[in-house]
Amino acid sequence: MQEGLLIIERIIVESLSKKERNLQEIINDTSLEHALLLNVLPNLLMKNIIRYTRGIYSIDKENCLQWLGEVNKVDHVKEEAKELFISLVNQYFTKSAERKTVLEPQLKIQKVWLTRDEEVILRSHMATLESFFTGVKASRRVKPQKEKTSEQRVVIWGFSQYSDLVDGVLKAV
Amino acid sequence: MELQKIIMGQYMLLNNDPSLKAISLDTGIQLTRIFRLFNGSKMKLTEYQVFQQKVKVKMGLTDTLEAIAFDCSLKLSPAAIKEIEVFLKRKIEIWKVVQATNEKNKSASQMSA
Repeated sequence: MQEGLLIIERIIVESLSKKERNLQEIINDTSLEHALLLNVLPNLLMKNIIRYTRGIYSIDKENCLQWLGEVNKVDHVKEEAKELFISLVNQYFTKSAERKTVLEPQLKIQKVWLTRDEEVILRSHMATLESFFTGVKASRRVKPQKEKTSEQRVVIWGFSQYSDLVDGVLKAV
Repeated sequence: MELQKIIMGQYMLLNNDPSLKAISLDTGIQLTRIFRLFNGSKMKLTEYQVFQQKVKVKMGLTDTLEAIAFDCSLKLSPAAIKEIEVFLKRKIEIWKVVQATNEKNKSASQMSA
């Protein structure tokens, strides 16, 4: 696939970038089912993103300059971000009875006119949020937890001017 | 054959597993022919189109995907067309993986039965 990584490929790459793993460990870490992994892993092997040696999968570090540049191209990252956002929206609007996960998805959209001072406050809240995540990641490096890649929380935030979003929609045709 | 299976599966699902006679009445295809189709006989293009049309009507897809895609290809900018293409390609890539997984699971459960 030349359009970057699919979400199911990305989660495996993220899992293996933490440490090399055997198939069962990948299943545990990603929560992807066995048969699905058997279909996705060969694709990643073919693309020289991962390696397989004696039952252990690992990131192909020798070729990482090539594939990292490719998968992290702006257009590819954009598609992945869209995929995550669409999935979050779909999940949020799925009736809770039909939802398989225990965690209730959160999605808030506010349209609000802000004074200059209020916008400064908003930006400061967002900076606080950003530094909170940076802090959490840093503390994991010092004090690792038994965390599963699949149990990470995906948090999306941002804002733009309403008219710019409308313009964007008008220009995207 | 794969497309045939998919369209027949969709038809059966959308119509709550109708009897062969009901399918024959609905599609205008002879009962014996319907029987053969459901027993693996290869579908003619015209028969496929009948099933496809029935499925689309049932799904309320009067504006078919093909028609919309064609309209888009004529009217939208290259960037917008590319955006749709990428979106659809990613959808179908995921579908392929899921499909292959389901096939594997199915054959594994048949082997263990």
